[in-house]
Order: sequence, then structure tokens, then C-alpha cells
Amino acid sequence: MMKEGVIITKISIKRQGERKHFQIKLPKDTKFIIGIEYGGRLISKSDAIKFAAAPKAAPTEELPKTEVIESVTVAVTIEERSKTFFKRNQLIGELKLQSSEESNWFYSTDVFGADANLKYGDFSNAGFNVNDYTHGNKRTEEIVKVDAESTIIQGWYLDALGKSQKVDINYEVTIYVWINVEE
Amino acid sequence: MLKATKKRFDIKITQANSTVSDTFELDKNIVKVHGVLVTSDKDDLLYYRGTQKIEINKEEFFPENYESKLLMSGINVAPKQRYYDLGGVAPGNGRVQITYKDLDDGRTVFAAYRVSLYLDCEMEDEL
Amino acid sequence: MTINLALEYIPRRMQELGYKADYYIRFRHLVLQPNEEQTIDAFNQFYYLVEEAENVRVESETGVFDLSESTTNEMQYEHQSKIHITNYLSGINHLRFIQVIPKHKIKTTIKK
Repeated sequence: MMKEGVIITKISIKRQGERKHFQIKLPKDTKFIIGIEYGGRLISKSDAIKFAAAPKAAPTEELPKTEVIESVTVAVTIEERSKTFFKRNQLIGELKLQSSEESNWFYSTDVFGADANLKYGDFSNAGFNVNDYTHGNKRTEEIVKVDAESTIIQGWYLDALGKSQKVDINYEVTIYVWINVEE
Repeated sequence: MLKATKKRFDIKITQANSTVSDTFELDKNIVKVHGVLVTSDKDDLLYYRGTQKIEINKEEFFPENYESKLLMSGINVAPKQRYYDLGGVAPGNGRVQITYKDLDDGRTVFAAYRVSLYLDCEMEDEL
Repeated sequence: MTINLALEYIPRRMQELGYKADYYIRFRHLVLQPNEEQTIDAFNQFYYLVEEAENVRVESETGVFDLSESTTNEMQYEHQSKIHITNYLSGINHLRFIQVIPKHKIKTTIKK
């Protein structure tokens, strides 16, 4: 009988432009890796932070249970503009995962902050505040299939947030590796 | 061929009234865990102050607040009888987790001590 | 240990332990921050210390490697289980290992 489980790994980023290598050990009884998910949270920021991106950019990553820290909202006067233009999302960093067998590098992603374009194309002006939990897509893991003979997953995470702000930001990225376990 | 082997895992208790949790992994060739026991370099502290939760492959064998004195065996116990018999547990993913809690008891004075978890296992000789 | 010695040593050692050729090998070059201490989970793995390793302490259940340690009669280059690494320098230090990871034997039947 097959059971599903998840292995949670937390990567701590403290310096701007930091590249953190890590290894994730798969339990002995794993059959396959079946999915990958990621999330994160901000731990501390310096006062000098300015958000280079659009009005609603906030360094919170998308995950239902993430603690939301702060979102910087600019005054309503430019609302008209913000409805018509596609905003740039804040890139937090890049993540890549490698297995030890044939799959090699099997996962790669850009980690973004909250989606700043949830309100894109909404001309209703209904006054309903748009948020990840009201308008965002349901978050599920990305499906992969990697044989667990791999034993170890290697990977790295490269910071982009601190690098773009030119300041050391302390945050944590969480990687969820979904696995299939033989009972 | 199956062989008997004993594994030891140590944790260090450095602060009074603290909880120390650690996870260890059994060797891949271990097929069964037969028994457990706990010891310490300061066994009076372990006896009076200690409780622990022990899990093997995420299955809880001893709950939180299970006193350490119940898993200790003195020198008056025959060596072969010292381990608490679990009845032959399959290691599963091989992970053993111990969550140890140290509490003041009014009789002992705290000093940093080591707690060791011993496991009586059976291993497969030919891989 | 020099890398050449490690490369000769590892296959024989794996044969001794019964893993034959069923293992992965990785070269790890760790960058240690000033006075950094870290613990590596190396259960069911082997870390072989190679090249220069000064002003650093590597300790595990198999022994200790620390050139400033005077109470031991041998230094240990092969480490397993929990490895505690301490950087004695107040600057960046480097540590090189060859990491040997025996494969999970999922396909072999083990008598229960």
C-alpha cells in the first residue's frame, strides 16, 4: 500500500545575492518523489528597504499558511494606471533541484512574491480588495516523478531579492518534497 | 544472515528544564528493532529529572512524559534482560526520534549531562 | 587525505562494507563563515576529509580531526552519522570532503 508524505527543508538566507547549496535526504522507504512545492517567509528587514516593483509588491511568498508580514500599498491616486498596466512581480530568488540518478536536474523555478497582477483587467471598481486568498489560484504542488533510488536530492537557492534591493535581507525559503512511501 | 547489534545515540542536556529533541537514522541493513534503554553519565539526574518521548518511523512507542526511570536498568538486572522489549519493530524509514524533557525535582542540582539511547537491533549481514 | 588516496581507498572500503558499487559519490567544498559551527546529518553516508584542513575541527562518532587537539593519538578522516564542524578562524575557512552515499537498496529483498 502506498502512502504519501512530505519532507520539509528550510533554507535560511541572510546575505544579498547569497547562493545556498543544500541536500535533502530521502527516507529509506521512499518509492518516488511525486511533487515539489515551495514557500517562505520574511524574518527581518532593514529600514532601508524600498520596493522597486509596483505598488502592491510585498516580500511575502505564496503559501496558504505563510505569516503575512507587511504589504506596502501606495495611495489610491494611481489606481487607474495600476488597472491597465501589467505589473512586474518581485523576484525573490531561483531554486533548482538535482537528483542523483538519470533525472539529473529535474526541477527549476523562480520564486516570486505575492502576485501583483491579481487585479489585472478588473474594471469593476467594486471596492473589493484583491488578495491571494480571494482571487489567487488554489496552490498545489508541481508534479514530478523521480525514482527514489536517488537517495539524496541536491539543490541550490540563489537570492535575488536582497541583490536587487542591495541590502541583506534575512528570510527563509521552505521546500516541500512530496514522496510516495511503500507501507 | 541475521546478526544482533546494538546502536547508541547521544543527546546533550545543557540547560535545566529544557526539552531536547533529536532524530537519528538507523543503518540501512537493520531489519528489526528489538529493545530500547536509556542511560546517562549522570544517572541520578536522568532518574529523577528525565522524561522522554520515543518514536521509531513516526510511530510513537513512548509518549511524552514517560519517565526515564522506567527505561533504566541497574547493575542488579541480568545484562540480557536490561532492554525494554518492543517485540521486533520494523524500522521503516529508519528514523528514531527522541524528545527528552528535563524538569527540576527539588532533590538534584542541575549540571550538564548526556543522555544515551541504546537500541538492540537485528541486522542483515549480506546486503 | 589526498584526493588520490581517497579515490583508491573509497572503492575498497565500500566493498568491505558490502555496498559494492552501489553508491553515489559527491565532492563537497564547504565554505565556513567566521567562527561558524554546523552539524551535518551524515547517517548512512561517509564523509572523507581531503586536502588541507587547518583551524577547523571535524568531530563525529568515528573520531575527531583537529590539528590543535592534543589529547588524541590519531586523527580520523572518515566520518559518519552526525558530524560537528567548528571553524576556529575569525575569517572564512574552507573544508573539502568526498561524500559517499550508499544507495537505498529498495530493489533487494531483505529477509524480515
